[in-house]
Amino acid sequence: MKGYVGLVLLVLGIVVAAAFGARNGDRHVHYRQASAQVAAGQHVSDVLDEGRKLNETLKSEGVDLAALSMEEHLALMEKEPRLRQQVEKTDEAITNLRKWGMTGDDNPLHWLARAKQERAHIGLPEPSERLGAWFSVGGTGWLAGILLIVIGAVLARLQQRDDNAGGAAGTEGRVDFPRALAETRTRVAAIRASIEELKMDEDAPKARNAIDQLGAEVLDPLVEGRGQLIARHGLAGFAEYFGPFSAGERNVNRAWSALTDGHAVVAREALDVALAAFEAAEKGYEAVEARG
Amino acid sequence: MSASTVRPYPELSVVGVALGTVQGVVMTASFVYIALKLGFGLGGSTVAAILGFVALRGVLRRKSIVENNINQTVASGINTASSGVVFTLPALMLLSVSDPTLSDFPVGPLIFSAIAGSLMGIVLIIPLRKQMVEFERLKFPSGVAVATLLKSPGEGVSQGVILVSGAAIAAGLTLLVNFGLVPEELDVGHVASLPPWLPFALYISAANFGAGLLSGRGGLPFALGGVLAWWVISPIAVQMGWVPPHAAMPPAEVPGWQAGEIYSQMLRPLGIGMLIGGALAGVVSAFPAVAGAMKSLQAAAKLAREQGSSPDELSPTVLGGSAAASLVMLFLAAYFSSDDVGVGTAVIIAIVGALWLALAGIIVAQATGATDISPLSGLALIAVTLMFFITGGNVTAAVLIGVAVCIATSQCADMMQDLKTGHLVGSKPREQQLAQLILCWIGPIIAIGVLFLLWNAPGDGTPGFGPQSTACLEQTQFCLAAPQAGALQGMIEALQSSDAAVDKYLGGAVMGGALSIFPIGGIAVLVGLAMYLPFSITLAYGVGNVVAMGLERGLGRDFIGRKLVPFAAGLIVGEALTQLTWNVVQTGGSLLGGGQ
Repeated sequence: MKGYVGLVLLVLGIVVAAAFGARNGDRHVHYRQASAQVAAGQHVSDVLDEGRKLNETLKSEGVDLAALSMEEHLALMEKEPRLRQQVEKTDEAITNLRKWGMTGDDNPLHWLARAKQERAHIGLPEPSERLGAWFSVGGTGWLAGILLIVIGAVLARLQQRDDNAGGAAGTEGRVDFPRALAETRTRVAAIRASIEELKMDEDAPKARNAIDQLGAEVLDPLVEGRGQLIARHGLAGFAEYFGPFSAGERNVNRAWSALTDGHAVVAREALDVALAAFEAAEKGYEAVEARG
Repeated sequence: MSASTVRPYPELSVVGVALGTVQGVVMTASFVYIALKLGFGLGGSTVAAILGFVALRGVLRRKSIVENNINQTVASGINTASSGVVFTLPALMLLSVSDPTLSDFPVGPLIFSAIAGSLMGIVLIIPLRKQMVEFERLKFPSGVAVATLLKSPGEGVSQGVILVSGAAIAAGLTLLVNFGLVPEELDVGHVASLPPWLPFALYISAANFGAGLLSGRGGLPFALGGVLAWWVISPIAVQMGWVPPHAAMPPAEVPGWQAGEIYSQMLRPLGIGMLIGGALAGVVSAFPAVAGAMKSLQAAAKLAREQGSSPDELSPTVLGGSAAASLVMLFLAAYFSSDDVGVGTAVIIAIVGALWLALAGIIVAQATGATDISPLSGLALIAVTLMFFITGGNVTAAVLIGVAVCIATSQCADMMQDLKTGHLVGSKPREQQLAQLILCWIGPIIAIGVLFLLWNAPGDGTPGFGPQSTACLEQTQFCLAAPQAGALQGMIEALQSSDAAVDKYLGGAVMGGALSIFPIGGIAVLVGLAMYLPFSITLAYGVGNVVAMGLERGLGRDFIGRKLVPFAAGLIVGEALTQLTWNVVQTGGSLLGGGQ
């Protein structure tokens, strides 16, 4: 129950803290609004620049747009898709700027200059001011969210501790590390014995299958249940025996690779190292358990 | 059995290292060019593993899975510098346009900084191998994909067929997207007329979906973080009037503008803060395990010395010595970067740079480990921001250290990815670490060299990106866009106008720290990453998680191991290979004058 309540509080806390934490102070918001206005004006300015460049290009190709009559201009637009596209783009950009409130007789560049001036007048808040403004608009909500996260996380930890205590009392689902290790050692020893006479370049599909099965049936579930072990012994205690265990696992993988590559000697060596590592893991576990 | 029939099992061999080096150099040079042209880098592990497979196993008849692991470790270790350099250095070059010849450019400090970053990234992340690969068991989807590929000779025909099927589907999908026959995003929200601030789009990428499949339940907090961000927090922000548009903004533009503001001004910077806070808290909480791992390293090294054998990992002495050497190099790079930087400032830059580099490396390794996605650009921005303030606005010193941080973080993620592969195929970590450490200087030099060659490229029809390169002067298609450099340049200009989201970084960092109390490792990094990334990526990844969970529930764990893992690995491998081929063909075509 504590776990579910903790999870709900945690999710709620993330939402509240992130929502309020993501808020911006008023001046920053106004600056961004003004930036949107500048961006709209800048777009028109860029399109007009493109138009000027196209005019120069056409001029260098012998076409002086300024000297053309309206009819000639329209005729040229039919022939020159570049020009037609540019005119359409410019019309669209200016129409859009009118939607922003630019009047018919206004010059887009003047409009942009005023927008920039407005933004500069607002100005970006300095980092310390930005921090203060952020806290004043969202600080309370953000802190409440953080509190919910902490309460939720602590409840989840308490639930984990209870689960672990239940596990220790023999409840179903408890990770039995010594038993799994004993099973591992038995199986690895059997695989080792099965390849005792294996020669170089000789295939050993049964041994490889046995390693695959060991992984799927014993090692992987143990790895999946490591959370219980961490909860039981703490990270430092867990590391004491899980390090050698992982080294053993890696050497079992090495044996698999060596068998695939036909290197029986290396496979045998790797399984010997794995057996020693699993033994070290067992001793480590016993030492951690003995310390309580 | 006679001794003569026993061959040594090649692992850290001359052939493997040489092949990896050649592949790494070629990939670095070509990936720098591709990244300047297209704006994104590529990981080299998958490609190197496939080519290694062909060269080592096919041509040279060398049957050793672990030797190929060394080959791909070396190749990707060298190549990883390309993304680190390309993201940062061109921005500094473009900011030096007042002197396009770059005559005063601090080349020496730059190379020192890049190599220092490369070295430091490796030595700082190695002690965390046990924590991330063995204790936390981070998924590292690409690492699993490469391991599946390396192990394919022994997996039997049926699993090989599944792997190839996955790769074929990925190749087909990638080509359909690249040819424009399938959109990059499946925008269901647009069809359903949802406003842009309530997005419902799926990023079409087989590799992203495959990474989600491989992560399964473990990746779910990442997807849920995205759902909370975009389906809960974003509508709240709009409905509460926290993103008010300009009074004159045309109504049709409002929803799109609000979505952009929510992402760029609210969620993304908050996500960066959460990444930082989560990583810091992760370091503190994992300290006992890391300390235990360091002790076991020392004990293992001592035991190995006594027994005359080689230990599993590089000794703390080697790691400590390398870290000290890289710190000195970082100091020298900072000191000689500019006349404005004195000894005291250079010491502070080196120490703060190294600390940030370590933290950023952990963040990137954790994020890559959990999701296969790296928040490199955001962390580079913070690095440049930090250095910018420490140096009192010295762009050269800031970007120089940014180069080191970018390379280091890439190295951290790559090293850990390769070590995960190594764990799965049974390689000796020490051999992998040694190979990557010894050759870590090659990538930065190649990447920087290629950048300088492309900067002033004088010939007609020669690609270039500097303003004095013939291609850019004549505005031909050979003028490379260098979009990432433009992005960082924009960031630097924003910094110069004091536009740093300190409030969100701080607020997010506290949230990340609080979230780390929850008993799911790395949850803060996952939720932070979800806010940092576009939602379409997170959602498509989450679909992979849910599908994997459904399959596990319905068909059992054995199905996951035997069928789903090779299929998902195939999706990742297939997309990586197809995308690389596509890019090479595309850029090759434009080099030959075909244009874009």
